[in-house]
Amino acid sequence: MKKHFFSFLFLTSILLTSFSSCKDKTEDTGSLKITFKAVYDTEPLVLYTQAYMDVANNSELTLQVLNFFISNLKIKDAEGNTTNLSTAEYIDFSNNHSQASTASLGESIVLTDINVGEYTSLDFGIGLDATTNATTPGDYSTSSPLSDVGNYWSAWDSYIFSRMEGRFQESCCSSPTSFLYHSGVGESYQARSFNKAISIAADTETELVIHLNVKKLIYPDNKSNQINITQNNVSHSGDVGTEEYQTALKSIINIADALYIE
Amino acid sequence: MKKIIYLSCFAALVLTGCKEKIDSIGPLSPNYNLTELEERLDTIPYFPTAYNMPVIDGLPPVEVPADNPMTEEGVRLGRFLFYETELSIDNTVSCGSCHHVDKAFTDGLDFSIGVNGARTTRNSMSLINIAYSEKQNSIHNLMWDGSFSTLEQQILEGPVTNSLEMANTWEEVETRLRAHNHYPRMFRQAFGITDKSEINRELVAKAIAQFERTLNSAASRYDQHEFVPFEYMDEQELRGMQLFIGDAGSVNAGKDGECAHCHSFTRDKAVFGRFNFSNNGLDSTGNSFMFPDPGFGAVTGNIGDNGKFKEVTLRNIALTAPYMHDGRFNTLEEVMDHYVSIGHGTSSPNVSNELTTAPDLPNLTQQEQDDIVAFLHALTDTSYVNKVEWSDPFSQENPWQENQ
Repeated sequence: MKKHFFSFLFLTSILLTSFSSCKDKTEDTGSLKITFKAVYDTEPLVLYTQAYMDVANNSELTLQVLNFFISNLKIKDAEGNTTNLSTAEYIDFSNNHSQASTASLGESIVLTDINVGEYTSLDFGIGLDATTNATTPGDYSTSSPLSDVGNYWSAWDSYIFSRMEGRFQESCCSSPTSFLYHSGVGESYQARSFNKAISIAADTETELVIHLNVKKLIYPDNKSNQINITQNNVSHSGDVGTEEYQTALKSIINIADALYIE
Repeated sequence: MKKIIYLSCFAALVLTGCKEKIDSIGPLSPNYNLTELEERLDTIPYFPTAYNMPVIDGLPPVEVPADNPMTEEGVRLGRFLFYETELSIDNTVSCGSCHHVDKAFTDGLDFSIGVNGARTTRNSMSLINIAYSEKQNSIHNLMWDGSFSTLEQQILEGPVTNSLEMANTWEEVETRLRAHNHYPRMFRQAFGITDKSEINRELVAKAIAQFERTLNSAASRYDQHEFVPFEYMDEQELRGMQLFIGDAGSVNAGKDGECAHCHSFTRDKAVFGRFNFSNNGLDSTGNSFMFPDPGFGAVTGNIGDNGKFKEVTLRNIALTAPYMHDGRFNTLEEVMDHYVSIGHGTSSPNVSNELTTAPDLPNLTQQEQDDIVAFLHALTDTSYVNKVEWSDPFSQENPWQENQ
């Protein structure tokens, strides 16, 4: 009996050890901190107080609001295997970018429990895909940015994908004019892929910096997407096909195209 | 050998038992007497009942912090503490002094009155559906300036020690509650404490927060329109709602009051407020340093946030006059006049672009303004005014009876 008892104990301890080591293996994860830094060329963006010369339009721009959803975050390895990181995150430049002293820090999100490994690209979309956009804020806990009714338009059954607001001062005029571009609705979702070697190590936070050059938000290199801010200073997206929709669409495309990883 | 083992086990059990007893009543000393025994509460039964939060059409489930689960006993204690004037230095002011149930838990004043008649610096905010202001993804959830993240934090760091409100100290509050004839029993029933000395400010905050998280209601004419068969808002209210929501840019668009940008809602999350912070053009200033009250900017330290205040829910707005953080507008009509005038331009440096770019706002006719006001009245819910569970227990004949 005693012999059986000790055998039982021995086997149990071996099993427990095996399970523990298996568990350890599955828990080999790290995290990825993605920091978005808004810049005007190389200079950190400062909301509200810093004016930027808009040479093309001979006016001064001051950005006051800049935020957007990013969604379907995933990383891929060299074999094309995909690891999903997050359904949706919200990038809001109103925190550190509201002061010159902290603007260079950017705004960060941290994604955890990522399997250790070597990855070759980061994919995400600006805005929300049709499936996520078919949900409503009441579907989510307040831990999710998708829970915020302030980011949702009941009139169009759509989330607000991006906001870009501020003032521009034309040399001709004595007082500044507001501009406001809110995108959403229709085909506004902008999927992007960034090739970058990303190494995730166990219990380690890997940082990745993504820059957004605000100089290209209104006047991007692609001239067909330039926004005539003096003629179209407002867009809440509106109905698909309208000029207002086209303006808002340009604004989110320009955000997506202004993102880059060094 | 066996005997030795049994004896050791017995001795260990005895010692363990002794140790628990000593810990629960504090260190033994020659002065240990009946008074100390009276500090103990563990003879009072502790069987907390989970609070069953009612399901309300149009509002999602209330989120409750993991470290403060709601119980019937906790909510009941919180209600008593909410209306307890002993929280204030001179026993004159309770939370309920500035939050009256018949005014959607506001007080009808421009600035609330604290101890010794002190005028506070901001307008009392409604507590109806206050739980929906707590967003896990934000730290600036409560108060006009977003200074607090959670209800517990607001209670701990807010009115009790504010010199214009209750002007008390937490040490004094704790002393009073520990010496009280009834509260120790209620703290025991709510939180399972075993000794009066365990009554502390954190438990006070937890209890009041539990009570405040029950103050949810959505039974206005708008809610009936949405959820009750054959109940509809009238034509003026419907016109007002259309203007309130607007659909700018739509080929079918009428005028757009653009109200729903800040006072957002969906059918299943009809909170009528996004609870962000914005400058709605109350003060014309030459620069961002000139605001008489910097509001959100004083909390964040960001110049661009100066002059911004919380975008509040419009549920029950007709009951919460006067309006704005300083109560400067007495009627909803005055508020409408203000927003229409903003559309004509303002010199405020960071006034919301959603207001300054609203094309129809300056052109709303008097009839259209009245329609929007009619819709705002349709958000009034008085179903809870006589609700006993939310009322002041000290206005009842024998408030402590149920807690004996």
